[in-house]
Amino acid sequence: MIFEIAHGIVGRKDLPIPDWLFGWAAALVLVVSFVALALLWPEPRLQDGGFRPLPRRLSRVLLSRAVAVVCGAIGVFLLGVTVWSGLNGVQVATANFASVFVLVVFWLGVVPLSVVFGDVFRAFNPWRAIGRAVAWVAQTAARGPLPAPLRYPERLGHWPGVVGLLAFATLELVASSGDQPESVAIATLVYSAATFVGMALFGVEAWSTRAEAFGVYFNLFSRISPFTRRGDQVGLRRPLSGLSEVGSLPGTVPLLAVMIGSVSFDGIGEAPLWTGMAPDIAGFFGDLGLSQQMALEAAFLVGLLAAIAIVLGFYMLGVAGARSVGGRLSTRQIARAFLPSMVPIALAYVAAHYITELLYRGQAIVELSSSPLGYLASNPLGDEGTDLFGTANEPIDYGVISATAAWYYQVGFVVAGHVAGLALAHDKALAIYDEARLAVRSQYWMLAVMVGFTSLALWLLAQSNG
Amino acid sequence: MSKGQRLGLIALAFVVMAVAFVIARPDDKSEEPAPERTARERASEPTATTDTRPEERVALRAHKPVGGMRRIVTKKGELVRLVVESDAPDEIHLHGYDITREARRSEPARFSFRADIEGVFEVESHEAEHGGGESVIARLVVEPS
Amino acid sequence: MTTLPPLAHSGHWILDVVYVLPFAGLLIWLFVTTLRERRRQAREGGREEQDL
Repeated sequence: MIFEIAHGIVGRKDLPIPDWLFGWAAALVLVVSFVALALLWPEPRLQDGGFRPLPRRLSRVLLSRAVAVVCGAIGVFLLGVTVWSGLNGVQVATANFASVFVLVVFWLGVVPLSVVFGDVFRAFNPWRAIGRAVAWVAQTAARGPLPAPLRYPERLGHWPGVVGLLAFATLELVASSGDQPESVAIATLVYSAATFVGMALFGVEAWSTRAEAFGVYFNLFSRISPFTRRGDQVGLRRPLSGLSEVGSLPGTVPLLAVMIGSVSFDGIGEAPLWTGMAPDIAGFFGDLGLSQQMALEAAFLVGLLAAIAIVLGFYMLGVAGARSVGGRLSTRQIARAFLPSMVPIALAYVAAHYITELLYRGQAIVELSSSPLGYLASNPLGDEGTDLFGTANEPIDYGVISATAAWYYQVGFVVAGHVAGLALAHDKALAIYDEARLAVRSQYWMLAVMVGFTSLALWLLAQSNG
Repeated sequence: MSKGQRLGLIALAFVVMAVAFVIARPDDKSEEPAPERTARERASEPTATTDTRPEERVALRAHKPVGGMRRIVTKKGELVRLVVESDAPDEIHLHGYDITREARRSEPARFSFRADIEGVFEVESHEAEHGGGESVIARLVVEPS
Repeated sequence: MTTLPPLAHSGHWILDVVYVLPFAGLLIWLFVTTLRERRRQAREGGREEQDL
């Protein structure tokens, strides 16, 4: 990512012990958690998290049509500003609303919102809003009933989402000018078109819940939150319990592999291990006749796919190990059963890896909201451009978090996410294995996989020190 | 969960938050704050004067320049500004003028100097040099004024 | 003779390996216990057959 991102930050870390010892400590915490789970968690608790409804009036307001319309309108408006500023504004990734909003504020910011408040993106999803609006107009205008959409094929599952997220990762990490405002705007338009086609074919709701990449992505994280909706009521359930049904649709395993793999690839981009390999891979493509830039992009694509494949292989190694302890479950059943534990890990990776970027680069949205086009360099009079909210010259405060604090938060996210994953896997094992003995033994393998992901996460985070 | 366990967890949460607060206070002793730059400053081109030119931007991916090796041609006496962005930590060295700057994802290497010496000077990536293979990311050509 | 390239900012590659050690250790332990379990089962299975 050539974006001037704030991954590592100003100032060195001031740590009492070396980086790798944090990794060992994290592994130790996982092992201790594993033992604690085996001893203190004898019954499944997260398969059915219960449901405590919020006061009726609150539910009625939150789920009202007025709120849905307003939220949808906001989403559509932001989509419009993105496309407009990307095409018309200054072509500097850090100084244009399109790039900063899509690649930082939206992509990174909605994650914590979803984790805390539930599936809020569903209300703001611009594609869903437009789809519903169009359906409403069509419904009102038609004299008779509209033709029903095609039935969403069971086998298709989350695969369109996999493709969508892979495409986004390619834009973000592979394309040389992927972060350029114009690229972002065009990608947004292409994605919108594809999404509308999908909605037209299979219906707005079916496509939004299963296939629309960002909806699926944020929905996964929202299952960690206690807030959920059942019918016409909003209520609370046990945190993490919403994840228990993850894995029931085909394509969810590759989806999580793409999520974790792409973050991993972004991290390894700073490591000498990758920067040493990339020119050689690019050389191979160069020999095939590709231009220097395309050869490098091809190399990065190879790297991204390899990272995803490695993450997938790693998870399947744990699954195969769990299968080897016995029981009557197939590999596929086990792979799907333990998938919920991968979501907190994906969250840990995203949170740890991008916290500084969100806190630093995300600040730019304050000034960009007043001046989405950035500075209009083409204006010969040196016009200052717009200043809608008076914040057009707010500088970024790099003091908001120190390098040391950021490291501690990153380690904290990694450990917390992996412990949560461990708990989920343990809980699921208790539910699916007939004998408690088999359940615990299957978890030894999951523990190894979690420790592996933990070590990988911390190693990647340490690469940005150079 | 019993009441005692609940209280215990809440207390633990408070302890964790307190520790986090203590750690997270920006430590101004050991770090230099980066210069604050607004979006305008990052995007802006300089007002035209006779001896400044727009800054050259080179982006490095895996220590290789995107778009190939850059050729920068300037006249003696001009102020040259070069910004090298890198997706991996690197050290960028300008031969002849002997200026070295660090580049990392969060902060690109910025060169700002007057082209006092005529000739052709290479800008090199330290890491690419160690990896073997092509390490020149740009060539600065200073012509007589 | 191979000399260590003086990597300007990175540490020795052994540091990277150190990160993997806890995971490797766990894997080795897992393999060992699985093998031991299998061997014990085979022995007990054999003994049962003898009793019959």
